[in-house]
Amino acid sequence: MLVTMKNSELIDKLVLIAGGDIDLVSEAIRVSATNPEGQAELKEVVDYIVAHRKSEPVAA
Amino acid sequence: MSVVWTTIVIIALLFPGVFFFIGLATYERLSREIIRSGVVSEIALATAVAVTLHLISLSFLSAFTGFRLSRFVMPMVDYSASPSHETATQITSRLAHVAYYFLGTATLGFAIGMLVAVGIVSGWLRFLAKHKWIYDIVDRGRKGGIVTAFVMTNTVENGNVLMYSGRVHDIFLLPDGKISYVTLKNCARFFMSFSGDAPKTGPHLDLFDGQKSYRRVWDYLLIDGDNIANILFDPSVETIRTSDEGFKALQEALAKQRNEAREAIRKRTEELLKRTGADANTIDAAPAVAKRPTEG
Repeated sequence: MLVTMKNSELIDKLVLIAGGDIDLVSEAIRVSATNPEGQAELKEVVDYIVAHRKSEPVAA
Repeated sequence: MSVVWTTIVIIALLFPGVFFFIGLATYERLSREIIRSGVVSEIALATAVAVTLHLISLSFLSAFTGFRLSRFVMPMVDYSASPSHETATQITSRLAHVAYYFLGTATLGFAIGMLVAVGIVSGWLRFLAKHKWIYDIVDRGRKGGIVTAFVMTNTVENGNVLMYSGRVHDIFLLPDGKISYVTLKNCARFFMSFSGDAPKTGPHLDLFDGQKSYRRVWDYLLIDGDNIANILFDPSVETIRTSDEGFKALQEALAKQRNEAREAIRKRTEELLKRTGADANTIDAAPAVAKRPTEG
């Protein structure tokens, strides 16, 4: 019985724009979840990540 | 011949039950696996669902359209006493209605199956499930949350236990509820030390520390069930609500990031060329030169 997380692809993309920083993605979701249901708007999550991500070092 | 027709009729009558299971598996494959306990019980359940839906459908048709099953079937019962062409006419005139009926009941079975799966995953039919805990994880994933797993392995060295943490990507659950394997993404490794008064965990070290983000997306860590001592699942309280606007913003951010990465590579190439004294055209022309066949 295989259980695959349905939102895994979405989180992958968020991790990608966060420069691989899963903690930043978690923080963005936490900070953006302002409504009583604890839901964060995807756009706000993306905006937060873009505003707070560290610049990636250029790979050798 | 009648044996063949009887088989076809029985299969057709079981359609609502069969489509109930298809609906159950469409929303969440796990629901189907959990409810099923054996082939015999599955056939029994499919039959029970089919009989119930036929009873409901026929009662509905009788109450609201004046349909009577006896009137519909009776002319075909005495087919041996009627001429063949009359039997054929009776059958063909009813064929479309029969097809619509089976289509309708099959759709109803599918919809009910899907509804049951939604109920099991979201909670109000959770009592039907054998291993209930897994649905909390499935549900959190469906709602757009992150489930982090902290895996304690069987690897022990000098009083330190090797542990992994990461975002749950998928889990394979055995029928008895044990985990066959777990796949994590964005992983970190760390130790739990038993040397002091209480177990203490050390710093988390990213498995792909220093790698580019696009490489980290592929960091699937598969941990075999035999190597797992225990797992702590930590679901995020908050979830993501998706929207077209959000997806657009995400696509734009990804495109911008790709452009920035391309620009960084171009700048780096230019700097490299400046340092070596070569011209950018040399680089562009290099592959063509390399591919050119040797003259002479």
